[in-house]
Amino acid sequence: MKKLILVCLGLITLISFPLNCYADEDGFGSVYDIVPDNVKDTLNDSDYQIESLQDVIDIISNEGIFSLVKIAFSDYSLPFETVATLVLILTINCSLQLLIDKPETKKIAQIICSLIICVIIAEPLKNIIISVTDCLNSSGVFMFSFLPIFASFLVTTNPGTSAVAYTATTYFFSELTVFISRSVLTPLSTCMFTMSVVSSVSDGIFNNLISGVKKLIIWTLGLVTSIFTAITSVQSIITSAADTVAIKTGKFIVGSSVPVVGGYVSEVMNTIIGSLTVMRSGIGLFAIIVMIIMFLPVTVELLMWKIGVKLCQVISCGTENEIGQNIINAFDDVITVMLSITICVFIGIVLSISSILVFGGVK
Amino acid sequence: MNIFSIIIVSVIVSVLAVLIKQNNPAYSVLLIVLFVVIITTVGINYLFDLTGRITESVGRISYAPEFLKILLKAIVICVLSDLASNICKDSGNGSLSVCIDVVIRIILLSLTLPIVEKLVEIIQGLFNL
Repeated sequence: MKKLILVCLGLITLISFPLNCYADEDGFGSVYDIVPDNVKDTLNDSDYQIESLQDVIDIISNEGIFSLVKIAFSDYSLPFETVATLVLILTINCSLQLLIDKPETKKIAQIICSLIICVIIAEPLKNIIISVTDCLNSSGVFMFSFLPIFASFLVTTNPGTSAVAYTATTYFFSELTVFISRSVLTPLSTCMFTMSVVSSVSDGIFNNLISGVKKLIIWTLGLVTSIFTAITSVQSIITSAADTVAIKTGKFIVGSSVPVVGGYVSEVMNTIIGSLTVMRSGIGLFAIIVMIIMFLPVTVELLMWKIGVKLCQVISCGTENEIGQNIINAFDDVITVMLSITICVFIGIVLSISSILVFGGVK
Repeated sequence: MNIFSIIIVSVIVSVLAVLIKQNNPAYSVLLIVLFVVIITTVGINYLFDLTGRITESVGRISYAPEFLKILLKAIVICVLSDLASNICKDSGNGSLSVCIDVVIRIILLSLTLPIVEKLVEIIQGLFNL
């Protein structure tokens, strides 16, 4: 009887003082909180109202994943305006070479032109490096907060030791890639550009050192991508079985056009397509959208610069300004490295999320 | 002054200079110097017009007009110094010609100082990232 009374009292107490406990319906709230501010601003400025995970899924299912790409686009006229200015300066330099008789004065005029080319290039380069570093930082911070939340969701729904172990490994390498890119490769690229500038004006005194630094950057990037390829090779289960002609063509184009990491991107292309197929729904898709919004503007900007600089290189071949040509080539090298880093990190993150999804039991 | 008037006047001046040189070489040099000054003034007017247009077209890049002005200033200095140096050489003053060349190079190098300062500032900014 006493026990019954005690149970009744306990029940009454529980009913009298209710605890407001509820689960976040789809986990979107906690994930949305860790989205970087610039991505939140971009999403808020867009025509789409993303307030829940269902909104994301609706947009993708109604308009396709590339409908979100347009959110990330902005004005990319600056690279071409800068290139036009560079062409103008190179033309003025050519005129100067014709107007001046004395070789010494010619050389001074050439140095002045090259310094101006250098300043005009260096300012956008600084902004590019800032954009890439910010992007890497934001992605690192986002992944640092997102992956544990995401993994905990998956482990709760489908517990498994392999999922936890794989999550930890992927998470570690994803963070390592971001760290190496941000703390080693980006400063090395800056050093390479600075040395190239000095070397151009002083008869190539740093040429060997520059080629060494360039090799170091490419090797480091190659090592990182190799490690990632090794990890992602485990993911054959998410690889799309149909290796169609379109995918083969895509692989060839990517392999030959993307600098430095083209081979890697081509190698894991099936895995990327498989990953995107896996992430048709769920929080993983939202993470990919965040990554696209974060990385796409930087990548497109870098591509625009790459096209512009290539154009400038072609035009500068016809001029006699060797110093200017060397500076433009150095700028091209830095853009190439930055583009490679951006693509490499982006793909690494996409693969990390997808691998956790697969090993977490998402079908 | 169009290109035809410049050509005609230069031919006339050179013929006159040859004629005067036989009797009074000093006046011949003076005539040539005077003509060079007039022609250069005309040329520089065209250059200023060009400068204005170039500065307008690259106005979007905030620091470009500033440096383009320096570049165009350098062009003017180079051309004028070349002219002055050649005139000095023609009139037999080789040492004066060399002196002009040296001074002009120093002036040109001093012109590049703002560019070098800006470059150093940007590179410092790059390393502070």
